[in-house]
Amino acid sequence: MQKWQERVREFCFAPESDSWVGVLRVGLGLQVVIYCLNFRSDWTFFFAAPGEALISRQLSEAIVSAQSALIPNLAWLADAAGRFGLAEATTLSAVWFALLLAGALLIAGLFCRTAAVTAWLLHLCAAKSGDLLSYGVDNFMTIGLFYLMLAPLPDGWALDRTLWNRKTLDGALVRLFRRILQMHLCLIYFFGGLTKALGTGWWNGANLWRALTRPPFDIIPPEMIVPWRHFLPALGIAIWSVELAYPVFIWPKKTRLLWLTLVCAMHLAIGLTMGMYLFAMIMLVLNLAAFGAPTRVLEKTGDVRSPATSVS
Amino acid sequence: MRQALNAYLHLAGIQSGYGFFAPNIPDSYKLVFAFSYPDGHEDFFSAQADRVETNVRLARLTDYIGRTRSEIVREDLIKLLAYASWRQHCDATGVRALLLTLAQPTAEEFLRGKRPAYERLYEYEFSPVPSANDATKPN
Repeated sequence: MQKWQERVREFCFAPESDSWVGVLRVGLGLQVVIYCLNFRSDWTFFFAAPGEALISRQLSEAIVSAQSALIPNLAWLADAAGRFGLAEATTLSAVWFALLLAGALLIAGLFCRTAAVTAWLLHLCAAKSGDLLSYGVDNFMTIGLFYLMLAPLPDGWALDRTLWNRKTLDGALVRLFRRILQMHLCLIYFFGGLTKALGTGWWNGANLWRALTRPPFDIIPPEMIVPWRHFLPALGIAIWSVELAYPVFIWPKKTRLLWLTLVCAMHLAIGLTMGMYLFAMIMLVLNLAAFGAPTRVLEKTGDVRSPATSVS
Repeated sequence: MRQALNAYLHLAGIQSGYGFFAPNIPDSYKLVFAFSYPDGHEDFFSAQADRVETNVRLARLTDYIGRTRSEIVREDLIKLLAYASWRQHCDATGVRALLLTLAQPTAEEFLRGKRPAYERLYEYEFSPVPSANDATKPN
C-alpha cells in the first residue's frame, strides 16, 4: 500500500522542470495572435449589434446565458464600457486589440499571469458571444488558456524571469499541472476515437471521403482524392485507432515518440487538407506541451536529478 | 449550484464532448438568398468569405440551422441572416431564403460521373416591413 502511495506521489508530484509551461505559453500566445489576425476583418461582422453584424451576438449570448448567467461574454464588456461613454464598436475594437496584445505578451513571456488571464477571459467572451459560429478550436483554445492561466508562471523561458527576477512555484506543482493536462488529452483522444469507432463510415473510408469533399473543407478537388479511394478505409481505421490507443501508448517512453508523431501528423494533415489550420495548431500545441516538451526530474534542491532523463 | 457548474464547464472549455465528425460525418447545408427586384430579376446570394476559417464558422451556423428541430428557431435565424444580407441589396423588394442540403456521392459514384448536388429542404419568403429606422427589415 505504501509502495503504491509512493508511486502515486512520484507520478503526480515529483518536481520537474517547467519547459512544458514555456511550450504551452509560447504556443498559445501564437495561437491567440493568429486567431486575432484571422478575425481582423470579420470581428465586427461577427460580434456587432443587431443591424451591423451577420447575426446578432445577442442571440448567442441569450442561448449561453440560459445555461448560466455566470458565463462571461462580450455584452459584459460592452455594458461596462458603455457606462464610461464608450461606443460598442470602440469596445469591440479594444477587445480585439487587447486580445492581440495578450497573445504577444504570452509569446514574449512578459506579465505572464496577467496576459494569460486576459487572453483566457477575452477569448472566452468572444467564443461565447459567437457561440453559434464557434467550433472545436474555440473549445480547445479555452481549455489550453484555462490551464495556462492556472499553471505555475513565469516559466524559465519567460522574460519575466529575467527582467523581474521572478521565481516559479515549486516543481511539484509543475508536475501536477502537467499530469492534469496529459490526462485530459488522454480523455479527449480516447472518447474521440471511441465515438469514431462506433461509426461505420470510419471503417469503410466513407467518412474520410465525405469529410474531404464536403464544403467548406473541400480544398482538395475530389478528382485528386478518387484515385486514392482504396486507401481511405485503412486511413479511417488508422485515425480512430491512433486516438483510441492514445492513452495506452503515449505514456511509455518506447512508444511515446511514435504516438506523438502519429497524432501530430494527423492534426497537420487535417490542417493542410481541410484548411482547419487553427484547429491543427491548437492540438499540436497541447500535445507538444503535454508530451513533447523535454523535462528533467529535479531534486528537492532544484538541481537536476542525475542521470538526467526525460520523464514519463 | 447547477448554474455554477454550467459556468465552470464553460469557463474550462469542457462543456461539450469530443466526438468531432463522429460517429459519422453530418449532412452539409447551404443557405441561398434570392433577392427580387422591381424589374423582375433575381439576384442569388450565398454568404461566402475569402478565408477557409471564416467559411468553417459560417458552415457551423448553417449546419445548426439545418439540424435544429425547432421550426421557429430555424425561421428566425434565417430571417436574421436575410436581414444581414439585405443590407447589401437595398433595392430588393423581397427575398426568398432557400435552405439546401448537399447530396454527396460516394467515391464510387463520383468515379461513375455523379456529382454533388443540392436539394431544397425549406423555403421562406420575406418582404420588407416599413419602419422608421430601417425600411429593409424583413417581415
